[in-house]
Amino acid sequence: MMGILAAMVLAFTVTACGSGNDKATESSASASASQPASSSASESASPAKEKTTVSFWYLWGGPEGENVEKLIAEFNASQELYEVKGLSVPDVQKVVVGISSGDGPDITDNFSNNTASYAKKGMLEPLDEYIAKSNYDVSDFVPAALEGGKYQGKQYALPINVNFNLMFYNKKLFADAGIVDPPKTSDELLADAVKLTKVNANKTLEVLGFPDFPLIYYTTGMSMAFGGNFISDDDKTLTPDNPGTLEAIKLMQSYRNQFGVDNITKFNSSAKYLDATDPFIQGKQAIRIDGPWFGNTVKNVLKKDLDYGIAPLPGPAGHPELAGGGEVSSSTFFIPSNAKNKDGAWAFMSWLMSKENMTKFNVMFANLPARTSVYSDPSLQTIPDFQLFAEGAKSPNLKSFPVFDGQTEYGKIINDEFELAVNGKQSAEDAVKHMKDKSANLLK
Amino acid sequence: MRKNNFTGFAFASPWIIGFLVFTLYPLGASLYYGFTDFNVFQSPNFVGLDNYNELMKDDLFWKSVRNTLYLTVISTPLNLLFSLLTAMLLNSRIRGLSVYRTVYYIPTIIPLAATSLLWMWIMNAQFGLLNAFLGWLGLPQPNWLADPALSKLSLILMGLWSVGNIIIIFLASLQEVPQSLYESASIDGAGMLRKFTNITVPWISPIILFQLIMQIINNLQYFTQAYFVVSSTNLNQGASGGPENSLLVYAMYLYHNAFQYFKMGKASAMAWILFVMAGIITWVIFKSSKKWVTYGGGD
Repeated sequence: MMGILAAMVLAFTVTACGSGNDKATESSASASASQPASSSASESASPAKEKTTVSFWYLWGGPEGENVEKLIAEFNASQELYEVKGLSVPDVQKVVVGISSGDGPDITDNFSNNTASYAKKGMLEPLDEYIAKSNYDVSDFVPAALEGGKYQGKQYALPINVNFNLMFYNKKLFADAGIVDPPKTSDELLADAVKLTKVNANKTLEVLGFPDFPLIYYTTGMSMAFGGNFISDDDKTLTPDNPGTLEAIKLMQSYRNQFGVDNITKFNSSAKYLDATDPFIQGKQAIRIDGPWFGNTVKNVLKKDLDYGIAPLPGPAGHPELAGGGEVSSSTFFIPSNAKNKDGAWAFMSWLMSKENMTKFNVMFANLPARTSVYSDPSLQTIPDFQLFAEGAKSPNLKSFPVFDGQTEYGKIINDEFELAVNGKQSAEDAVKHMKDKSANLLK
Repeated sequence: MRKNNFTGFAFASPWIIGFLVFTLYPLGASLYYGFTDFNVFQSPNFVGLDNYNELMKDDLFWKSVRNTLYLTVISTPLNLLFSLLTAMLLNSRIRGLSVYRTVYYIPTIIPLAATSLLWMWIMNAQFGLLNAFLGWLGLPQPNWLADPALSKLSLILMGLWSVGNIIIIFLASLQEVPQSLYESASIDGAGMLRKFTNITVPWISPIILFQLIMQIINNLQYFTQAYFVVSSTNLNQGASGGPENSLLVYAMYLYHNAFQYFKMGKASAMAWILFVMAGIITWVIFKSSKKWVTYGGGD
């Protein structure tokens, strides 16, 4: 069988050569001669050394992807050693599978909440040596953001921005309800939310007063704003049963009980996040927990004229020292441990993370840079609400979600039990107990 | 003679190689991975039956089994019945028949992603067409896709819209039923129902068997529509299973294990459990089919 196959292959090659015989010999001749020829050519043309390729896969697409390409072009024009080739791969799974097969990128972007999981699997190249070798200054990074790129004391990824949420509120709805200042504590939040809610004749909600949508920004974020922490200080025990989570659940339960779980889930499931029908943008949501990109989307992308204010997330009642809390995460860049051009990847990463280029990147994406030293840069001031977020980033009460291998599952357990509790299927106490029990074996 | 064999194999080799490399090898590999701790990146670590033991104790695994069985048990007979009745309507002699046939088949051509998005708007709880209509009739307006008790039923309703493929096969088989049988039954005084149960159903029973098995297998592997509904109603695209995990179907949990938690071993074990279960169900149906499937010209 193999013999026949071989013969067939041979036959094909022979016929193929028959038609283009001259070309084939020509190319093989030039191939064999290329070695000495090119070396002599480079000698005569002195330093024009061949640029080595750095393959860079990024998760952005569309206009954001075009922005990334602009930065790549700038980098390529800036030096003579490397040529970065960008590829938009908006699917994390594809990137991971690419890396696992050994045909992945030399550098790619991801999120701080994946650092630990990837690092534990040996996917990531530690950056400490590169940082030390090139004397790279990371002292002005937001500590929590830098932490998000670390695993077991080593730096595996560098953050380009800092993401955390603040409270956006609709000034007109507040004025209509006679509320002067945005709520500062959990009690005030509930009282204001009740006043702000408007109900239709059929009991469905016309205006949602509580920051119930999107739920995902409430669960862990408000737990932390209410002083909760999801891991013990010694990093050895998971603590989903913290007082902050309990308070966050109970507060939402109180609101939902008053207006009906059904009516609120109806409202939430009908709402679309950050498009023209988004309830906050439509003036149908009074209080919203959202990030630094929100103002930019409203003002520059959707071009809506919406009069909103921004305040820190409400803290727990009676604990002014815990004000200004919340959850921090980052977009990060890393070099896979099996990258073919690690030096080139580091050259690009260090260029992108420099003060100047990090600023450019964040102006394009309307995000908060991970380096605090650039916050006074004039170009950043064009981002809507930039100073308010820059101010918020200084709060010592911002925390990050625990960094460990099983954090995706931990997050899933918290969200699932939280949802059951606020849907009225279990008490807040049972919810945190279930979170605790189900996550007991995650931190091995 | 031997030489002819070689030539034959050589011509069949594209398929043989394709089968060995892209089907048999992955199948064997996944069986092996099912007994390992494998995270895609590091080399697999043999753990015996740990993955299977872990699954038996995993609440979400059982939840996904229940969700999938619910879909299969309700959706399969409903789809078959609806398709058969539609096929019978499309088999009658009425004006504009070819137009109807086309119209019923069109939804099947639309990509599942588009179908899902369309139906999510129709079933939108506050602004959807369906609830607007129900409200106009003075009926309750349920929270179709976000109420854990209704979300699966909503997907089943969605599925009824695109059964064109089943209809077309039923239609073809209905046209095979000899008119002479109906005519002689009429002479004997049989009514519509009698003709249906005593002529139509036995005659097309091999097709019903085929459709039943295909539908069950499709439903056991149900993924796309649930995935679209979950990922576009929830910002946490990560490992969400829909409202209270009510849309966490088997294939979705398998996907979460493989690509969200990188537990390829556990995911492979799940794939094999599904494979064996589908095999057993198919075997049982085949066994029972001797009692209810008639092959024309048989004893």
